[in-house]
Amino acid sequence: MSIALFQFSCIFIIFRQISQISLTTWEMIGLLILGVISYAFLSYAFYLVLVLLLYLSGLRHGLKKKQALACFYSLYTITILTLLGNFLTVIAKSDFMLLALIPITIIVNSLVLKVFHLNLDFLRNNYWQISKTFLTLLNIGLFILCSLQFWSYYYDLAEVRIYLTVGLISLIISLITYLGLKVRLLQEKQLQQNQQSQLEQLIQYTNQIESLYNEVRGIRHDYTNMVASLGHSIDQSDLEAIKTIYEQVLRQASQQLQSPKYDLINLANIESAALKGLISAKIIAAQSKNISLQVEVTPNFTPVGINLLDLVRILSILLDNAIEAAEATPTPQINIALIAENTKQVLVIQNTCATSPLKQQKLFKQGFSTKGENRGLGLAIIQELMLKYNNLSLNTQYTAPFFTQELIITKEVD
Amino acid sequence: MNIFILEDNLIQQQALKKMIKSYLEQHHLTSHRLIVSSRPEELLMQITQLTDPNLYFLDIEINIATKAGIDLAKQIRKRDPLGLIVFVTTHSEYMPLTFKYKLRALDFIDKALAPSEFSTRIQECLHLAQGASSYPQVDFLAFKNKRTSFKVPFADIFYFETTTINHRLHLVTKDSDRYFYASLNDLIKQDSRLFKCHKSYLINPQNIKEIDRTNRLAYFPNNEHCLIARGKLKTLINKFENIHNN
Repeated sequence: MSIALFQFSCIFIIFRQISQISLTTWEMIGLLILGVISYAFLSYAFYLVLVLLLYLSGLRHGLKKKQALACFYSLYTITILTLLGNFLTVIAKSDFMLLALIPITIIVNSLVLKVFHLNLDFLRNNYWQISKTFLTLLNIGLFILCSLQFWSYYYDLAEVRIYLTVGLISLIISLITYLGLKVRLLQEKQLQQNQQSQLEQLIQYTNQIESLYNEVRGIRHDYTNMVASLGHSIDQSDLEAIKTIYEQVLRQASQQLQSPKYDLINLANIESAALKGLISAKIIAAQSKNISLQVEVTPNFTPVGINLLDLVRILSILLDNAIEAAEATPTPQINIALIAENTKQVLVIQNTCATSPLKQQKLFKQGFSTKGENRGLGLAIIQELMLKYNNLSLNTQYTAPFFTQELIITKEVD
Repeated sequence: MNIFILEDNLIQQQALKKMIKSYLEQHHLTSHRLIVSSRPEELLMQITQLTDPNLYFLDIEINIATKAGIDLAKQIRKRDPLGLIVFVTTHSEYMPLTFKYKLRALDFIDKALAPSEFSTRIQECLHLAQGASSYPQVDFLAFKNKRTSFKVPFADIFYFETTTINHRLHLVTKDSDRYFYASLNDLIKQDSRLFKCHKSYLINPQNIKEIDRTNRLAYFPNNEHCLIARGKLKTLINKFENIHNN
């Protein structure tokens, strides 16, 4: 009995170690009772009930939309526990010794997790970018391992079990290593994609700046000519001509120079090529959709307190959403401000929006989007990224006709 | 309310002065004082009477000091925190969102606008300021910790709720929501009118629309609801009835 209790607490601890979910007392008691009852009825097949129960509690603790991950956590917990438990039964000569040895499973597990913790963190934080087929295969593999293990109990194949265990352990290690490889590949792919799009964006930015420069050169040319003829008209005291030149040409030229497209020049204040490239690309995209756009950047804006790649991803999602929402309004307008202050940085994105996108609590829940089903991934990714930092806060506000998002990055002050 | 103008270009200064004067006369607002200056220090010395918020029209670039207007606005904020600041300036300095954020500037008017539109914008500011000075003082909840700082009108607050992440809170107000790091207890310390009706919810009882006693839920005007703990239901109902009987 005490061994059973002990094993159950191991389940809870290992589950917590892998998934970082702590079950409530009621869940633990429920699991224990149902586990014992199902053992009485189902004999060794009771592991199925345990896997199911852990999976369900995973869903209750924020993994509702990440079923594959919840499944992985529960299968992993049961598999690793039985595998290590197997080893121990072989080593231990008495029940008492077994009792003393059980905590070793927890220690071994925490060692395993430590070695692979980067891979697991990656899995947790980038759930939406990992192929679901891969996770399903992983889960099926784990399930087979786990089942083989329990069947060997059922038919009492003790001598086979030792070989089986060694084989299974090497399998699980190769599986996790494969996961690690996959993770690294994904990371590399992401990095490459990022660099590629950064390069493209910077080329676009340079082209845009060049064409603006050519335009300014043209205006300068006209301007000099007009000033010359203005001088001529003044010499002749031709007030009518002076008026015409001022109204029609000079005023127009100065208005031309104030066109929002010259806002692109404000980007010179951003001291990060990646950020500059991203924002210029989005500005150009917005302008091509006839969205009028205004950009403000305070001098020497350098992002601090957040990984640049993460900031670029957050901003690119926010800006894409802003463009999409603004496009659907009669007078589309987007305003962007990047403000650097002493202790914090504020990024403001404001776009016209037909209706309030705040069904408030749901805005950031997995998969929520006013754009229809399965299209809210962007916001979910932002939420995932935000969790990595405790110095970020995001404020969203709707005051017709503008939807405003303020991302505030506080510099670490200690 | 006093009206201040900071402008170093004499022609523009006089034009703006004329425009405002004629507005005041048209609307029989002759009791307002109009102070015009081309020097920030001089203007700052004139800010004496502060019974209600003043209205300021500031040019940003004064002589060769490219940020004189901004520096002045910062000084004004210290003396007249509720004053209405409008920047009247050229397009090259046009940063309305930034100044709204940093200095709570009311508006940003481009000098190069067509004269009629320019005058309309000035009149709109005057009109707005006229309304603003009769508003009662707004009651704010100002919160600040190491990681976040914000200020929201207390009457707009619906509730704060915890999220699945430790110390990450979600504030829901009338027209905004905000995610930030703090604890509910820190917030109670800030303002005792907030009521912790459940271990995960801190609510503003003034904004409760309805209480569902059987399911123990408090509803807000946006139709969202908060849970109420068994032990807190009675106190909350009392508070709710008190507010509605007064």
